[in-house]
Amino acid sequence: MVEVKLPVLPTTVIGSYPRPTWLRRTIKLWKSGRLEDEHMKEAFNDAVVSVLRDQEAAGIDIPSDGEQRRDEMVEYFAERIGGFRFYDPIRIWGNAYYRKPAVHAPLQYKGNMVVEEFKFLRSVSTRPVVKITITGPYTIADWSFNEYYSAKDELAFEIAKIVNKELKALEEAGAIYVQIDEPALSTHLEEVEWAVEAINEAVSKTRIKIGMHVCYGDYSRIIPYLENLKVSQFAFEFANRGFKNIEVVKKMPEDKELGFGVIDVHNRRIETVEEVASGIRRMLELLPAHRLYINPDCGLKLLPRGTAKEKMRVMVEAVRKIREEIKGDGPVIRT
Amino acid sequence: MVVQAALIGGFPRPFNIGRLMSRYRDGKLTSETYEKKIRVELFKTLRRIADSKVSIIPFNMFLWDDIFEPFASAFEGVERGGLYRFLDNNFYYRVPVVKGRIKHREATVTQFKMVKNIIRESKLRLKIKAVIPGPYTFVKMCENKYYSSEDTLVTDVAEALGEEARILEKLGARFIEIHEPLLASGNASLELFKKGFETLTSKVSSETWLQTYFGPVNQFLEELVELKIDVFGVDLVEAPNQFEAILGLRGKRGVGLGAVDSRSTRVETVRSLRMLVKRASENFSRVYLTPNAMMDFIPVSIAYAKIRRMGVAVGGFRNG
Repeated sequence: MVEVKLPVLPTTVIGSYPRPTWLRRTIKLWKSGRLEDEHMKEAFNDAVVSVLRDQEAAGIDIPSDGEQRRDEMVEYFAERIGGFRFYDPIRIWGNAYYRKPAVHAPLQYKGNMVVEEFKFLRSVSTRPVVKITITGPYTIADWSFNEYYSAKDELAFEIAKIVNKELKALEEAGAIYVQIDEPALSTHLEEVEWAVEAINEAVSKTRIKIGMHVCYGDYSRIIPYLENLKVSQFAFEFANRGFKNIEVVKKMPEDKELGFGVIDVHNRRIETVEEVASGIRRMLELLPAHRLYINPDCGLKLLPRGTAKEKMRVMVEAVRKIREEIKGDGPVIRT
Repeated sequence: MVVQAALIGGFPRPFNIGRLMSRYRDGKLTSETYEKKIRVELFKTLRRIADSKVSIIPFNMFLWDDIFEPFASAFEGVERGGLYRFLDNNFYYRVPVVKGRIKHREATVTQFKMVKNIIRESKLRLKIKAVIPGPYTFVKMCENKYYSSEDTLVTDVAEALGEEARILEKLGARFIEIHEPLLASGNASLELFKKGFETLTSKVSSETWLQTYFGPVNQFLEELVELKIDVFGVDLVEAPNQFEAILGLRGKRGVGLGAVDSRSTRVETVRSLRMLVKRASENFSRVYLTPNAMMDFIPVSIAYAKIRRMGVAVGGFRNG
């Protein structure tokens, strides 16, 4: 059994972090066939160390590897699961694009997808807990074109079996904290009931602490389903909406924690410490400190690296300020 | 009888165009270079669309980031805010934040003129629609920090959008395409919709094309027939059951059959599309075969494959 005590209001990230410029150039070389795989691997590892140090220097308690190896959260997994194919990229907003995969054949687990990421991150981080992220079965199903399965739920349950295999492999490798990303969960209310079952299937028979991230949707639509989800934490975005409707968290089941999004990742303006602290104070009127983790709204990858780092520094400084104002123990991760 | 293929709202912005736009927005391209390149790309897209036998296009094509973008940027009293999910899609729009009294300022005229000129100079057989978000959908999807009542807000939004439509009409827009997906949301307020729609359409004399998507509107048909709607654009992918009710409308009014799935890579068969068109042409003197919504949600290669099928499906019907 593993038990790790965390400080009150532990700070973490949602997952992605901007890639260093040199890494982006290196990837271009590699994709054009002008760099060997082993050198690319070395560059990815070095990039993880770089962005991990950014996070640790900013004071983040639970860092990630910044998803440096992943171009996109669905695409990365679709490339590693048999049965997917890709067309040209599609736009998601502004001029941001992603390669939306299409399922054209039965899905197959071809082997570990993120276990090596975890092992490397664990080996280079100075923190007792690190976070590894996996895109959830519902979001992969919703953000893929389905050309093979008769219905979306059938597709989602197939993906859930694959995610479950990966979670078990992560557990075997020593992971204690994994975040399932399900940003699509709040989009189709009529599907939430079976989506919850699919997520539960994905996390079944694992002892890892599981968080779940949902963003940019109407949380009031999914709150009634949260108690049925076999995860212990929900990471929600609130800064982008100006902390509007944060009262919704009062309806969360009492045994669940909240990863409170306090940094807007779609705005390059750097928040002030007081702005972030005031958001946290408002949240503390709604939920006790021992149920709160503090994080940005979402992945930081679209920000310039310096901006991301500064935003993390501000977030940590705001948390430190609040820690001086409140007393109490932080959460404990037990697996 | 008129049977034609038409597009709705927008077309996928190819990746290379997106990169071009980003470079321009980041100040890495001069406006002259940018406009020159965009015109070339627009021409290529328009020519491929015309070659597919699509007859009517929205002018905005791949130019807008989202349906609200130009208006939220230009209108007095509105600013662009945070990213919000566009309905239930993995596609996001910058929410229009209403911070003061909304007043019209030209938002899309330059783009409209550019597209119109390209079509005229290249002698492409394409008619253009002006595209605007419906006042009701605008009100429901914006963040209102100024108006104390939705009634006043919808009126001011409709006045401003109507003024834009009036200018585009003078510049030669064949239709005013009004996007009201929120009318198909299942819990729409018909009164508020009507108030906005009537205010807007009172400012224009060209034909109006009401476009609804991602749900049915057949529950409102009785009231909608009383409005100035020249073409009913309906979603037959997400709400196929409304087809029979729509057929009941008959008459001179046109129908937009949203039968091509703008969110799926499965390309429809010509046969299935033709069957719908044939059926509708028995009741309507004008039938337009369209995607069920804007096509931004699918890869551009798939969008071209789909519109080629649309062109084939409407071929052979006697127009005139």
